Amino acid sequence: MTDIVLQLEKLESGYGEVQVLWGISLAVRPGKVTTIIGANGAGKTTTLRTIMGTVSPWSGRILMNGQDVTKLSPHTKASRGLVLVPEGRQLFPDMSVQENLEMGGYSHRARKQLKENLARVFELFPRLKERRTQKAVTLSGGEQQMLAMGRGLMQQPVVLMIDELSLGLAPVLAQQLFLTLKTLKEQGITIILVEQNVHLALAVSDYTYVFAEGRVPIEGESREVASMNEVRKAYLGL
Amino acid sequence: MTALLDVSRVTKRFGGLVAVSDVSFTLVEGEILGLIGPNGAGKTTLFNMVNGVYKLDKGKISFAGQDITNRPPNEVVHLGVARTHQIVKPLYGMTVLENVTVGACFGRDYLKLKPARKVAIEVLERVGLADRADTPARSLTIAGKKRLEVARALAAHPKLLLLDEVLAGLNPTEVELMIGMVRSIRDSGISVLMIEHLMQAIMSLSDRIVVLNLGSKLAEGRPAEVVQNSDVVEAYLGFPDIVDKLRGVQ
Repeated sequence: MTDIVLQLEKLESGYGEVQVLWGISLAVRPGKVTTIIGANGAGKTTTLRTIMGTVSPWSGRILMNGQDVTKLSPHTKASRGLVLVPEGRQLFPDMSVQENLEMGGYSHRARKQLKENLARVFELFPRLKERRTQKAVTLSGGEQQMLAMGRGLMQQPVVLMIDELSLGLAPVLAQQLFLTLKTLKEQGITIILVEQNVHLALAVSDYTYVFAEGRVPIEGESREVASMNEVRKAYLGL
Repeated sequence: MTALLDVSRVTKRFGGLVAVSDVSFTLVEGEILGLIGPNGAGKTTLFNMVNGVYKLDKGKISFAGQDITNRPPNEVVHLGVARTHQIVKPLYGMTVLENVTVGACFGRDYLKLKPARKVAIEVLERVGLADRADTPARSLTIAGKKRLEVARALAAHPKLLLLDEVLAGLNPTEVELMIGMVRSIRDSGISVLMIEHLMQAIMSLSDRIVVLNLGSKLAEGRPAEVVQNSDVVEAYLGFPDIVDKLRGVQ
């Protein structure tokens, strides 16, 4: 099982009385981009939150490199390299760009390489370097998304989960972030992507899960999924 | 064909940053005018200038023949300009119906509670939220909250509706529904100024498009003209071969 970094087995969870996930099983392979697409309310974000542990699993298992991490707390999972770039970015608005990045790099596992990681993030996003002393709140939407990704990378992720990479961004900016994602993939980082821009998500990813009402009715190599009629009709508007 | 909205050489600075610089355009009554441009281009700032949230540093804005420059938002909505917000802002402690009722109470007609509620019910029918009237606003999905934004603005009985990214975050089916709704709003006699990133949608909806970049007007024209403008392609639309570029590594 060494070729699977993260595995979900029949995962169920939800909020209060409301069940959102009805048995999600998926496998994430190292160095690959795994994409989750699906309608609003299908359980994409809830899946990422349940993997991270900010939403507790009701049943099922989460395995990381073969080890059961289902019941671990979010900070313990983070310390093992599970990193979430949340929807809406959730930056520290009154901290500077660099301080936000340092918050990401503060964990025990990443602290020793703080300088190197910072240099790496600045190399990946020169824009953040230019704006390092600016408060996060003054950044444009695209720059904020760069910062959220940069903060995630500061944690030296084993698995980087990104919730809505391109939401609300202009086409050219969304495209640039997708190209950055490609660079990260080439650097060997394992990525789980939840994304509304199905076109770009399918293009950049290796394997795709299509969610519907808390289940996974369709999965496959992204290339195959992109050519399925039901996917083209429902998600690509073709 | 007189201009309903006339934005004339407006400028807005935040400290050293010129967010909107010397921008002019007009919107003709009955028109859907699209406002596009990269993030940080000044689109939402321009909305905030039109509806009075921000004071102008320079320039003039007229609506229906009246100077509305620097009039406060409550007066602007009373004159007939309503808006939605990019980040949906329902009153979270209230139901869907109560939210829309508030829009009618503080809109163009300053309705009392009872007639306001009647208007709110009609508007909810119109946007397809009637069955959610008693739902707490917080428990709507994103698509529901976007519709609630539109409903609340419509309840203000506007002549001009400013829509700030009402399609962001919607899936293709929901996008289709919202596009139909915007068309029917215009057909009911309300003019529309809309910010949108979803190109197919804005191209099919707009009569004309204004493109902003770095605070300035980059281009203006019919959709077909604007997409062929090389400045617009470079600043905004990006690489036509992006999918091939992304696939390259596989």
